[in-house]
Formats: sequence, structure tokens, C-alpha cells
Amino acid sequence: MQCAGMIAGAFPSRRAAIRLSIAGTLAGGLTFGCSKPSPQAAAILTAEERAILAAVADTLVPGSAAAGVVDFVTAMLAEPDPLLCYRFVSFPLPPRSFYKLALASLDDLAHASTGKPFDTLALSERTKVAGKLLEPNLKGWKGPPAALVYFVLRSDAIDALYGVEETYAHLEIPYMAHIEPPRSW
Amino acid sequence: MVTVEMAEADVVIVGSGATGSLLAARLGAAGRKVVVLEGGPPRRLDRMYSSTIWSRNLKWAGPPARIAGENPVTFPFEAGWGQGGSALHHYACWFRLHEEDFRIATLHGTGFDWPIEYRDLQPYYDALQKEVGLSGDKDQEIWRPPGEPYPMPPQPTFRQAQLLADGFAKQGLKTAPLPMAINSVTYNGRPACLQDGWCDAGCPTGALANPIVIFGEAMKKAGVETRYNAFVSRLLTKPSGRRVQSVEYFEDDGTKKSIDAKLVILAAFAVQTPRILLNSANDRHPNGLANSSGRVGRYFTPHAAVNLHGMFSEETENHMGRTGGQLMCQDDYSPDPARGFVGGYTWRIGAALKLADLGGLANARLDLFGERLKTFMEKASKHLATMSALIANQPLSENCIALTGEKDKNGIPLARLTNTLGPDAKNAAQAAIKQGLEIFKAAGAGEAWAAPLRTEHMMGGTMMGEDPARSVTDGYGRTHDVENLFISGPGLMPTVGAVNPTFTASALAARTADHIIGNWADFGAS
Repeated sequence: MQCAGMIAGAFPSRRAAIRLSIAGTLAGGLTFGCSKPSPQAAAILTAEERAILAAVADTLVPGSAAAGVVDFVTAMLAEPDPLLCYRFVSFPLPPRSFYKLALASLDDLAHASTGKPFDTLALSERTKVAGKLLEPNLKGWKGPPAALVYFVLRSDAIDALYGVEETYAHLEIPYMAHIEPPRSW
Repeated sequence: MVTVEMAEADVVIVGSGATGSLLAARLGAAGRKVVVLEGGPPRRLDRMYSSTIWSRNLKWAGPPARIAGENPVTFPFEAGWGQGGSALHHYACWFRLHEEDFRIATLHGTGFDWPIEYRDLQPYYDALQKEVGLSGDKDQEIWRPPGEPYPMPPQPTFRQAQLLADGFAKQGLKTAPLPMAINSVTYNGRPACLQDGWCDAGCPTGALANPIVIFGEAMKKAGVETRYNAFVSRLLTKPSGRRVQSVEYFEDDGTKKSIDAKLVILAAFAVQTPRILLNSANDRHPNGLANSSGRVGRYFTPHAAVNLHGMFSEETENHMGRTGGQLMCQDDYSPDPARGFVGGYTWRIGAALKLADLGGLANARLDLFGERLKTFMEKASKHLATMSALIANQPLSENCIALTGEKDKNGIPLARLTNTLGPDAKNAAQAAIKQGLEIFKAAGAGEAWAAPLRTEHMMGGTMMGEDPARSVTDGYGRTHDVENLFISGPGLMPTVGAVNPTFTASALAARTADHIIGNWADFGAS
């Protein structure tokens, strides 16, 4: 399992690392993983939550784990006003609470469906479980609305992979920045 | 503890968005001492980064609102946060309402008539399009009501709009350049648009007319004082209840302050303006300030909207152009109910797309994930074309902004936004989807589909009208109940037509400014 943190450490800049990892993952060469969390990150999401997040993000948007979705979400959740799509949905839970509940609920769904934690499932099984989030009136679901969980986690994964300049370059879409962001997020 | 400022302002304006900035510039230039209270931070053009992630800094970050109803409003996406308000990230589609939009009740027996007519606003539309700078083609825009030609030629078109225009033509429908408050050529010292589709992230070049580039210098020259991170909680009236005495606000650290004013203008957009009024209830105004009609917060009326997408075999250049689109069609704009619904729609054709964010490519197929999404993104990034129908929505009393029992950090009740689209809007959406799919087919799309029905823009909630028992303000935005209190912004609109509201809200504000300046002796007397 390739780890985004290891990738980042092996190259001179984080942006260069992401560029290479995106190129690799979009070409089908990498699978999801997660970096070793800093103490601050660990206080925001536990190792288990980070593993579930990496797994579900990569299931929904292949390549997003290597692109750093866990670091992205964790960094945003450390901010008082996270720049996540969650801010647009007006759900009455603080962001961190929502993510913890959403990830736990997804893991519960995996246990109920397969008897295993979500992040240990094979891709085909993860795909089946993640697809259930789109089912209306999902039986046994106890978390925030399943469709909302799907939308938010999918959006984060899209941000991490498709919201950065490197992916535009990979897809040969001109990015055409007026002002380059100081970093991807 | 409240810190009360001893010096009295002539005018306090709440909100520095499109209409608040316009009013501040106008009234300041007329010699009034103007103080603007802006709930969010100041903005800098050189911090408007071209990023779908960083762009969210410009979106609402104030107290949350609770969302209810069948068709929820994406309030934090629609609203802005800080200097310039939502106009800092708006797409600058500056349409005029049509003449019949002002008389829907008389013509079709539903909704409301405005207390003014198109001809009352026409001079303001005409003057503003010169001041702000609009690009378009009046002659091609055959549906447009009377008025001066646009001061700039239309924007260029790119392949997806050209493909779709061919589809419209094959269906016997007309298209025209979409009128935009975006420079197509150098204008008033501001450069032409670079056509790179970063409108939603804020336009740092000044090609897109946001309040900072249009009114910033005028406000500075006029000595307008803007106080940032000053979140208004209440308006306090004199004992008679007939005049506002002062405006109460909180600074970021929770310090409560108050400033006296001869005249107050609420320009805090369609949610915060009624929230402030409702939170300002007192003995004289037990149901909220300026709410003797019971209509503060009522008839909140977002547009309905639907996006249609199609995949073409040839490349569509969908990364090029403006986020608001390239072309338009209003062949089905008329509110004529003969089609089974009152109110029509405007097609906005060929929006420039980014890969991510709410309006990005990935959300053109929200149902896709995994390898199918990856395949879709590879194809769509080169071959997708898009257009959206902006659909009239008739005002309904049950769609409203109300206060909840929850409170923000300053103890102000949160707002609840309830919205369920009425049958007219839903039926119009179905007609638009059917027509749109036929257009894509005629244009040669291999496949085409419609995204789920959504809402767009926020209007109503403090409607203007002739009858004080049925409206909140008069035709100039002056509240019926409180003589030195005005409201500005799209919340004034009794009906919403099927066009983006910023041009109309701005024209109304310009008319309000003239009215206040011309009658200052009446309105501004303490």
C-alpha cells in the first residue's frame, strides 16, 4: 500500500509529489493509503477514522487518497472555517462531529454488510458498500443522511484530486490561473 | 456592556455588497457622512486565488442558517462573506427584468404587481450599464425591453456555445450573446476578460464588475467609513417607534457597539436583512421592526434552475469563457400561462467549467463514482457542453425566513430558510428539460441528461408594494412603518422573473439613492 506521506517525503516539494502521485494514480498505478498523522491531525481524526476516510475517498474518486485527501480534510478540520464543500450543505452539526459520525456510520454499514471494517475490504466490496449510500431509505443506517455523506465525502475526494492544478495538467486542461494559490489548499 | 458612539452618522448602511456599496458611494458623494457596517472581513483583489478550494473564502462564513422545505437553498454558496458580499463571486449575468415581470398579478392573477413599472427602472438600467460596464448585443437580444445599447461589444464564444447555438437554431430557437458585467474590451481603465472561467473565485483583474472595482474608489473619495467584522444584531428605535435611533453590532471579539444614525439602510442580502428586522422586535414593533404587515421574511423566492449536460464527439473547449455562460435564449421567457405554468425561463448557454466544486464537471454526474467517474472525467473535461435554465418561481407565503430558537455566538437567533418550489416552477422546469434535451440532440450530442432540479439566487422576504398592509417597503425601499429606514437588495423584489437579479437590485438601489438625496430634508431630519 503506497502511503501519501511517504511519497511526499521522497520528493523535493509536496506539489511535485502530488503531481507524480496524481499521474500515477490516474494511470492506475497506485492505491490508497494514509500518511502517519501528526499529533494535531490525530487529535482531529483518529487513525481508524483516517483509514476509513482514505478508503472511502479512494473508492469514490480513485486516486484521491494518494492525492492527499486525508491530509486535506484533516487540515481543513483544523481550521475554524474549513474550506470544504460541507460548508455549503447547512447541516446542523459542527464539521468535525459530522465527519466522525459519517465515518463511523459508514464503518457500521460495512460491518453490517460484510462483517469487516470498511478500510479492510477489497475494492469490489468497498464499491458495493459505498454504493449503498445512494439508496433511498438505507436500511439500518443511523448516521447523517446517507446521500449527504456520499456527497460530502465524494466532494472532498474530488477537491483533493480534481481541485488541484496538477490534475488539470494531467488531463491537459489549461489551468489559466489569474493568481496562483500559495498552495493547493 | 454596549459601547455607544457619540458621533452620529448621517447614514449607516448594513452590508457592503452590490447595493450597499453603490448606495455608500452615491450618498457619500452627495455629502452625507456614511458608515458601512460589514459583517465580514475586508477583501483584497490580490488574494483572489484561482482555485475552486480557495474560492470558498469568499462564501458565507457567518452564523449558519437552518434549511427547510422540499427544495433547500444553498445559502452559504449564494451569499458572500466580507467586503463586496456575494457580488465578489457573482457570475455577472446582468439581465434586465421584462416589462411584464412588474405586473404578473394583473396579467396572470398570481404573485404580485410591483409598485413601480419597468419604465421607472429603465433610466437606472441604462445609466448603470454605462457606469458598471456591460457587454452584449441589444439587437441580437430580441427579447430585451427598451433601453440603450450596451456600451461594450459582446464577449467571444467558444466551441460548446457554438455547438449548442446550432442546436437551438435547428429547433427554431434564437440565441444571443449573454449580457455580462464583464469587460469584452478595455473599459473605464479596467482590462478585458481573459476568458479563463475563474469568475467564481473572484476576478482580481477587474474585468468582472465587483463592488470593490466599481465603487471602491468612489467610496474612498467620498470619505465613506467601512467597519469590517461588524455584525449587526438589531436596530433600536426612538420611543415613538417611528424612527431608528441606532444600529447595534458586534465586533469579532464579542464587543457590542452601537452607532446612531439619521438614516439606516439594510443592504444585508435576503437572509440577514429580515433576520435583523425580526430580531429588532420591541414594544412598538412586537412582531419585528417594519413588520406590521407580517410580511418580513415572507415570500422568500429563490429561482428554480436546472443544468443540462451533453457529451459531444468533438472537443468543446468547456474550460474557456465565463462561469455565467456565453449565450442566452429567452424564447420561452414569457409568463403566459397557456403552456400550463406562469413564468418562463432563460437559457444560459455554455458556462465555463472547472473540474471540482459545486458547479464543476464532477458534479455533472453526481451519481458516478469509482472507475466510472474517472472515465467520465477524462471524457467530460474535453467533450462536455452545458447550459442551464433559470426558471421563474412565483412567490408563496410559506416560503420564508424566520428565526429559530437556536442562537449564534452573539446571542442572535439563527435564521431558518424554508423553500418549496411551487407548481409553476416545477412545471416550467419539466418543459425546460424536455426542450433542452431536444436541443442537445439537435446539436449532435451523443448523450444528454438533466441534473436534479435546484434553486438559485435569493430574493423576496422584504417585498416592496403600494399597500402597507401587504408589503414591507414602498417603491423606493423605504419601510412603511419606520420613516428613516430603507431596505436595499433583491429582498425587495415582489416577483423575480427568470433572470439573475443583480442588475435589477442595483438599479433599484440607484433609484433609492436618488430618492434619498433628493429628499434628504425629509428623511434625514433627526
